[in-house]
Amino acid sequence: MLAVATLTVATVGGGGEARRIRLCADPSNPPFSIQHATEPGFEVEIARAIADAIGAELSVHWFPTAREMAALRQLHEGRCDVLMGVPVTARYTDDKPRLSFTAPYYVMSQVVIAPTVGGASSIERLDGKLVGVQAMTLSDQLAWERGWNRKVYLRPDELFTALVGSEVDAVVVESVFAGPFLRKSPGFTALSLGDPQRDLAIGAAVRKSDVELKEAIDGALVRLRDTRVPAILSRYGILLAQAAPPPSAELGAARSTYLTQCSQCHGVDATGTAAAANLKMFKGTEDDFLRIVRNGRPGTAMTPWRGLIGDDDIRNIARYIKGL
Amino acid sequence: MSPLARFVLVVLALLPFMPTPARAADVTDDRLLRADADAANWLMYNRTYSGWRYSPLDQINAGNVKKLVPKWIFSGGTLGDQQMTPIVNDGVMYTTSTSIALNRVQAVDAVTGALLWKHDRRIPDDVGALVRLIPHNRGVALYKDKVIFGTLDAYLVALDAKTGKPAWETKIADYADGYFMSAAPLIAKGKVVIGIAGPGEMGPRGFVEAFDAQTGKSQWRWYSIPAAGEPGSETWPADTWKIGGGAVWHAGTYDPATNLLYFGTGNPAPWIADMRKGDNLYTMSAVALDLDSGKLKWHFQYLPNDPWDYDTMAEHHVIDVVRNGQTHKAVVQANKLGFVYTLDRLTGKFLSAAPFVKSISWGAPDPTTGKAIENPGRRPTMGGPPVEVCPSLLGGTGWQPKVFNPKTGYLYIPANEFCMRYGYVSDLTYRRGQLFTGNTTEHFSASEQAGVLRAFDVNQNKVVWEWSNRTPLISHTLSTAGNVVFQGTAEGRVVAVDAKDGKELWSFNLGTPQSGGIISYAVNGKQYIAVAAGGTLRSQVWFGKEPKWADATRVNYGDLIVVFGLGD
Repeated sequence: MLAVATLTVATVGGGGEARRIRLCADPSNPPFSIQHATEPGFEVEIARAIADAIGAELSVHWFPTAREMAALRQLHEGRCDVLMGVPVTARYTDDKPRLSFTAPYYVMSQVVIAPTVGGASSIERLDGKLVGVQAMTLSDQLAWERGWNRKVYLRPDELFTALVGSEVDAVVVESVFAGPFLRKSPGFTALSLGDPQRDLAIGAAVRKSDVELKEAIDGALVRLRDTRVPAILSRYGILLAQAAPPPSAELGAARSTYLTQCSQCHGVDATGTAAAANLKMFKGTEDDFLRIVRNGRPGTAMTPWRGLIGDDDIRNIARYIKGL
Repeated sequence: MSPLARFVLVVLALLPFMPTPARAADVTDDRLLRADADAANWLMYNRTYSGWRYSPLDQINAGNVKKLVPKWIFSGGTLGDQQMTPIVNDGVMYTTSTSIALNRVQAVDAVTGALLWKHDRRIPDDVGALVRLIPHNRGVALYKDKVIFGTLDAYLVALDAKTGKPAWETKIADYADGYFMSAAPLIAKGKVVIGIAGPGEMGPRGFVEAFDAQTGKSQWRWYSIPAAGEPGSETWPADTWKIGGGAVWHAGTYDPATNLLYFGTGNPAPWIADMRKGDNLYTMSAVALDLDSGKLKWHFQYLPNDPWDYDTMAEHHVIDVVRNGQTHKAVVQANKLGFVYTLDRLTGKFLSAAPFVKSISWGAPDPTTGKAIENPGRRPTMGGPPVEVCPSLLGGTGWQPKVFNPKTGYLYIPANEFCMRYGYVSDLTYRRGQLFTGNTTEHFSASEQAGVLRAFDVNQNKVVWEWSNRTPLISHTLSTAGNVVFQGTAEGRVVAVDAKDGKELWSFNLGTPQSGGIISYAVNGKQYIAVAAGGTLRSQVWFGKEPKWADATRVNYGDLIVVFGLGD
């Protein structure tokens, strides 16, 4: 799954000539890249936007990226200059000393897709259901970690066929695949995992020696970040899946309220800090929780919240914390 | 003569020989103007209008600082944040303390630590969320025979300096909107000038206001966010200006020569930048206001559309900076962004910016124009994963005052090498009195020594030495003519280092986090160092789960003033 679209860009510097960037991209890896004149995949389109922004000419070296090492070799050996679609997290980049990495241009997360009617309405309801995953991906690992019954497929399109044919109750996929599927399949809903730890920031790789190119791409991304990049991503439906609604409106609101009003002291995961209690260890009833939040705990930093957060909202926060 | 009259005469005859409290002279405009030369006293928050926090006293110096011993300890008696800088006038020290529903002001004999009077003001318990979480106050201002301070329920209050009896009070704003006063007032030419706290986290518009120091009557108010139709309002979409933040929550500085007040404005609200697309003037800016009229003379915006709570409320030091043999009348701000900015104080023109921390990933100011150039990928998206960005929102340096020593030419910056994992919630609605921030934050540091006191040569425009500490320095600094810099730590130490090279000379464990002002004063020819301590929510909660800082988060709160002098 790594190096999903290998966009190799090379600068061939020349006195007075326009800069040329060669992109390595898989000829058959939608929606990342595809050897197609008008819809070449979002990675190729973003690479074009970058090239436009820095006044360079872009050419594409079409090369399969399924095998990551082979794709990286294209970059090392100078057949292309930029490889797009690589995770820019330390765990990936730290053992690539010959490469440098640009700033991320989007975030890939994992989502669960289930039928809107009669399907699992929340992540918690997946126990006992059959969940389709793509073999050897982060989604596969996730389903395994959560102990879900999983059925393994090789390609994303096989997964979706299985979902539409009711072969599985739900699928876990990367958000890039979820978006385009949801756009053409109105009967299905995405459930957010609410687990930012699993999100992957995606950027591009260049050869370490191409300092100027890396800087040029980073500079271009500043200008494109709010304009062309989101436009391209949304055209391919990528943002659709990332904005998946939370399990219920009440708990979704409770999550935002908790994170804004409470997490600064009690932590994002509610396990507390030196000066605030671990709320996961709270043994009282929901009524106890309501009373303490309303009245505070005298002599501590826990001040009364009555008048600021309504009783129903406090109860929803209690339920949200329980579900963490 | 009756026996009673004789007794009175005897007492009167003895008065001049009673050591303390001395009869404190009234604090006139003239005394405030010449506070710099009044070495024995610390008459205002930053000691002088220039904001230097430099004491010209040199009895305690690098050679004998090892002989410092505690002379007295005063307990303020609260458990709120202790961020206050004591003020000293002729042997009387004025302090403040806060806790939930309480503002306290106390006058103390500066030689013995004996309590002279105490004023407690009860605060309603339905104030906004931020005040409930971190009640705090940074100190009083003195004018004539009055002690003047801002309150947690957004009043300005004057007390009789000799007795603590209330003289007048003025309601500044409605606390139900989340407004409160945390800054120490600045008093110049008979005006009390103070900025409002709360808006950056609570929503409503920030402002600076001036009041008549004799009567408390409002003179002018300058809003940090223009209303619809005013110049700059085009930088706010729709009605967002009404709840756009821009608190001015730190004391300003003043240049009598230009008659301009210099304030740093805070972050816009909410913290989710996408909810207020545009530059968001005049948040995140240096602003120069005419003292007489409150009119904006110039502004310089450090960071448009701030997405990280990097508010630039820090003080602007009034310094004549020499570069390439040319003297520039400048203001200098070291701020959360991690850079020391030098601006022309007459025009606001950008002169330079130089980094004082290494942990900077948000971007950098353009070296010619000062315009912020952001690195890509550092802005979170609503509901998206947290991003890693440096510095943390507590800043390369934050509100903890920086100190300028004219003898060394160094600005001493309590700086921090740390970062944050920072995200936005997926939805946020403005609700009066609730926090209007919408972020998740976890602080961390790649460095073993996150707190770094750095000496920055304002003429050479670079860091010349550093002294470091394990946890971040959300603590105070003092420099004196005795070639010493004092620095507090969250672990509870106060440390003296050599002002020229940063070599550690002395330290003392206060037993509670150092978090308030460190000042120096003299009474009867003897110099003292006063350290306000007690902790801030920042040092316990905001250090979060960074394991390297766990020791410091276990230190207990306590609201103390510890005064040191040379051993006999």
